[in-house]
Amino acid sequence: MIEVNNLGKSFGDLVVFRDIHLHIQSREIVVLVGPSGSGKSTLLRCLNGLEVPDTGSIRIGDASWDASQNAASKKQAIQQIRLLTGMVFQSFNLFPHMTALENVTMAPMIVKKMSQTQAAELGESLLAKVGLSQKKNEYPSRLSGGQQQRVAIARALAMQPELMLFDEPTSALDPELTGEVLAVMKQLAAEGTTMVVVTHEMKFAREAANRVIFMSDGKIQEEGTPEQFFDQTKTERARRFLRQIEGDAATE
Amino acid sequence: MELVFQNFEFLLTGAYYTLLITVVSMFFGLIIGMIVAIARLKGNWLISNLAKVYVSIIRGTPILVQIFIIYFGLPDFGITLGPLTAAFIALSVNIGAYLSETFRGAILSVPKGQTEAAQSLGLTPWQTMRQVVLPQAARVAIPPMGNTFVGILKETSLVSVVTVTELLRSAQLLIAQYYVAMPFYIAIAIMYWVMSTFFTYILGRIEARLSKAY
Repeated sequence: MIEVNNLGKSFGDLVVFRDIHLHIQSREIVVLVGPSGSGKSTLLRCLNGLEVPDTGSIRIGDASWDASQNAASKKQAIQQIRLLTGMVFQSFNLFPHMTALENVTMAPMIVKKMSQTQAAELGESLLAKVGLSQKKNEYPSRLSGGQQQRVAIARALAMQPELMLFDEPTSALDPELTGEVLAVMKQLAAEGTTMVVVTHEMKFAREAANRVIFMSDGKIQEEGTPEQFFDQTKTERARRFLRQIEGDAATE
Repeated sequence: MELVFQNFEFLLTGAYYTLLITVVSMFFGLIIGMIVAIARLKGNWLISNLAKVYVSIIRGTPILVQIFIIYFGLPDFGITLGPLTAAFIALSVNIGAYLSETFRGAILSVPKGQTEAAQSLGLTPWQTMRQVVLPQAARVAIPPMGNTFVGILKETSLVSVVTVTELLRSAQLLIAQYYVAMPFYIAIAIMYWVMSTFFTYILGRIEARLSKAY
């Protein structure tokens, strides 16, 4: 359902990534790992139109973006793509002037013109799903990081996207709070939500992913099932990366 | 002092005009300021530079000169305005320039992640502005806006020079009539102070309300 071909992106002289080919099936859970600066976050942001690639094409469902299109069709394609994808950010980016429930109901009401009662119903069911029913009238400043990120997940789900994108969703959290967010993500995975996750949580990758993609120096270096990637690592670059991660975990 | 009470009604009429000019110019100044701020931030090269030049000219020239240009200068081009209209226009244009800078700063103070989150949910740039950026910018803009508002309340006294009988000019007319200055000046000073304090209080309330989420 997602087809990325020949995608490339540079910031000025700096090549972030090039020649990225990525095909993702419906209900698949893909975890993107790699050292920082490897381009994985930028790639994810391209899938949501927050960054504009320089070359290549992206097709998500019926929406297709191509670097050779004119400006107007590109704009339309990005708008379509955004409606099909939900994004969860490292820094949550909840709207601080809205309550938890308002954060969730705003987009369905504004973008989909859903009625307030309908949106509230949807919002409450989604907050219940992430375990935050009793916090629906709290402002984000009164919620812990883990709770904020769960509201952010509910907010993205409210637009009923076909694909959920997670950009290091637990990296800004205290270690004891990552569990609650990962639990919600595992639940979504179990329900068959198509997901692309950029993360440093190798345990999550091992337990929830169908496929692990290792990116480094702007390229996909290797990919495979979690077993293949973690137990029969092919490239030296990936082995070094995994050793470093394990080293960090051991010293903690 | 008795003279002040005898003519209190006349002074109140003056105060009414001071308030009227303040509120009307603030209202149009807000609209101008918002448009100019967005023009500077989102406009193309031409629009954003036009806005920049406008702000630079208004902030770089005395408000008294601006009032004179509109009231005494425009008739040379066949545009004759009543004193009150001239006052409204001069002050609105002036406030607009100052507020646009306030708004621009406030809009820029909203983190980029907020815009990204709104866009990722499918909101158009305008919806993002309206639902997400402006409400947060408003909270940042309120305190400096309050200063502008109170400042303009006092600067309305300048339009007395184009024969608008606001508070200062009503006092001057009374002084010319009775040949006593001090009581009238003290009286209007108190009236200015009461009005400023009242507005400061109202703005404080609005600020507290907008901050309740934080």
